[in-house]
Amino acid sequence: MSRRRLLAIARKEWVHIRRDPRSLAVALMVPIVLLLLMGAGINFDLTDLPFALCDYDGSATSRLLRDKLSHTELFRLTGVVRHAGEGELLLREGLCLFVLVVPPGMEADLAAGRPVALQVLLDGSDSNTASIARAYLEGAIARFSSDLLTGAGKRLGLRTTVVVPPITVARKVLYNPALESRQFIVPGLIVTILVILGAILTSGTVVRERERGTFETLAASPVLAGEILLGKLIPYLVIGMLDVLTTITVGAVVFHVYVAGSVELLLACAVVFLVCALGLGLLVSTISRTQQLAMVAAIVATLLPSLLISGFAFPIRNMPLFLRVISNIIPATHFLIVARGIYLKGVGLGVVWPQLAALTGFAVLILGLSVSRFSKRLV
Amino acid sequence: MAEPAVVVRGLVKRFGSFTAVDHLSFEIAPGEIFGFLGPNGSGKSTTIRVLCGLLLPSEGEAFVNGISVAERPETVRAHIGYMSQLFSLYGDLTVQENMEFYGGVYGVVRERFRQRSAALVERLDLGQECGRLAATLSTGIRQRLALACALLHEPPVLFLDEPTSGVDPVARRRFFELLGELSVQGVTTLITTHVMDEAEHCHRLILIHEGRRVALGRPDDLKAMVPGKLLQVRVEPSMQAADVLSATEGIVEVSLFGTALHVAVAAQVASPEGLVREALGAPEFTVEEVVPVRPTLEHAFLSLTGGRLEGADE
Repeated sequence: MSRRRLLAIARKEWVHIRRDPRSLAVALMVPIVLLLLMGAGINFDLTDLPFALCDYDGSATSRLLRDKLSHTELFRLTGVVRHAGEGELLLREGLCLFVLVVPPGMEADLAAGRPVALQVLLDGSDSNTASIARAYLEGAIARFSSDLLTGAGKRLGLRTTVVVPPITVARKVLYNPALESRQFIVPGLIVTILVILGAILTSGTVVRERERGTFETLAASPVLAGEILLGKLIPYLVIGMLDVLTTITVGAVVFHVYVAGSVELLLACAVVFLVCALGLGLLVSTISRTQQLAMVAAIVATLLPSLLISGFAFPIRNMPLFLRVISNIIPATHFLIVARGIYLKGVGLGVVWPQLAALTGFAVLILGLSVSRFSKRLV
Repeated sequence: MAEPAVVVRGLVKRFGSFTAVDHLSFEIAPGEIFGFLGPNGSGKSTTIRVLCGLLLPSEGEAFVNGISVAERPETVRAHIGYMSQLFSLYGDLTVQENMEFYGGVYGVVRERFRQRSAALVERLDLGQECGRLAATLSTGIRQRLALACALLHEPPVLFLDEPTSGVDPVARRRFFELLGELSVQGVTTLITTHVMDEAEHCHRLILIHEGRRVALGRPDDLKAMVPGKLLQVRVEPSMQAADVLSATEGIVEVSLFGTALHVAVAAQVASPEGLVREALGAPEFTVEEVVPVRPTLEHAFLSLTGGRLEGADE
């Protein structure tokens, strides 16, 4: 490995980047735009769940229930129907997520001390949302009925709380007290954006020389495969790190997602992760025949795994075994753990070292594979 | 003869079922300007690529300065300067940046690079162009720049693959003057061409056809290989005359040469001129001139390759 030759390649690649301001602007702006779009768009928190009410009772109590529900930010009343069949039509058209049916004589039954069952028609076509809505609704109804009991007790002059469950949960949520999904999604997005962008950045670099004919003269020089690949990687590593800084800044300024732990450690891990991503691009570039093919291959190799099986959106522990295995051999999975750990829990090297070690291993492996697949021969 | 600078022995290169180079052997002495002459697709570029270690030979061996190309390609590459037929420069880099890049990949140290690049810029008259992007240069300047890049590390052996295609005759002449100077300094040059006046500048030529060696020698040796006697015939109408002459016994070859015909007559014919005039005796032919001419390299080329000089000027 000669420093002089390595620097010559890196410097040349840097001039290519500088002379192509449009691509440079894309490389620097795309991560910000993606983060803004996806950060605003992807939200696992459910609020404003639309519901319809079918009130067969028409009493003061049923009106009170209606007001209680529609005055929280969880639910939004989108329709009042006269019978349950009408409500089902609204469900079918997607105008509401559930229909709450208040049976006739509810108030009278309550006054007489008889238990009342409310009926809920739930749209189960989106099972995830439906089960969350059910849990929210059950909680709200439970609060409503305990309020009713307390109110009734007061009116009767009783001082004791009527219902005290023998066991309650006193919960304290750590790391993300408000349970905002954004706190969890933004670090994940940064990881996903970096791996895709990193692979795309370098995907054209080797195959372009082949397409333009400069490869032959380069290959006839004594420069080594490792010097060419490493030299091409260095300038893009600088760009990639700029992207890391801008996305972290956007995350903080726009989404109020702050790094709880050491930013330096996060950046150090990002360097290793970027080497993996850029190395993947180089590997693809080394074995592809055209620039377009290389770019598509780079996107396919990074986009789907990092979105679907890295744990970005779906928990890895619920995946079938073979997906869990694959998930563990993609760098994004490991950097995701590091990024979320440092971002949310503020953990240090003592906790993330296994992931950092795995990332380092991947980086060496990917670069080694690229060097071994890189041939200075033409056929 | 000193240790040869380039040795090619029994070289075969096959691509699938196609044989591009077929048992080719030659040696080049240090300081020699060695011309590689042959029609397109005859295996010239393939041979050069094998010598640069860009292609592995199917059979046979190749040595540069006594080093096996197949075994130690990187060592050989440090000893050679290569100008490929393809565009070897980076269009979005300036002339100066291209030179810095190639200086870098050949490991030329900074101080040496400064001296060498200054000397080459001066010698190749690139001073005006240093800040220009390579993509904006004319073909002639590009070729000079590519040569400068190939010479930065002072290689003892130069491989030039059609370096002057698309370059005007004046620039071509200056190019060969430079090769002459390098030759005096001991630089060995292997140059491929299918331009005859370029071939005249070479010390020795190898003529290859369909991957095989057809002839090897000095330009004069090659001309002497043209069999029989060569006559220049001016006759009207020339096309019909060519047909008649081709069918005449004792006439080996007829080719169009400008407006005249060049007629090769077999050596055993006692009176070549008489034979031609006799063959064109019919009244529809007006014979203006029948004179003997000295064979040129082009004649040698045509007769040695069986008249197939395709795309001589591409």
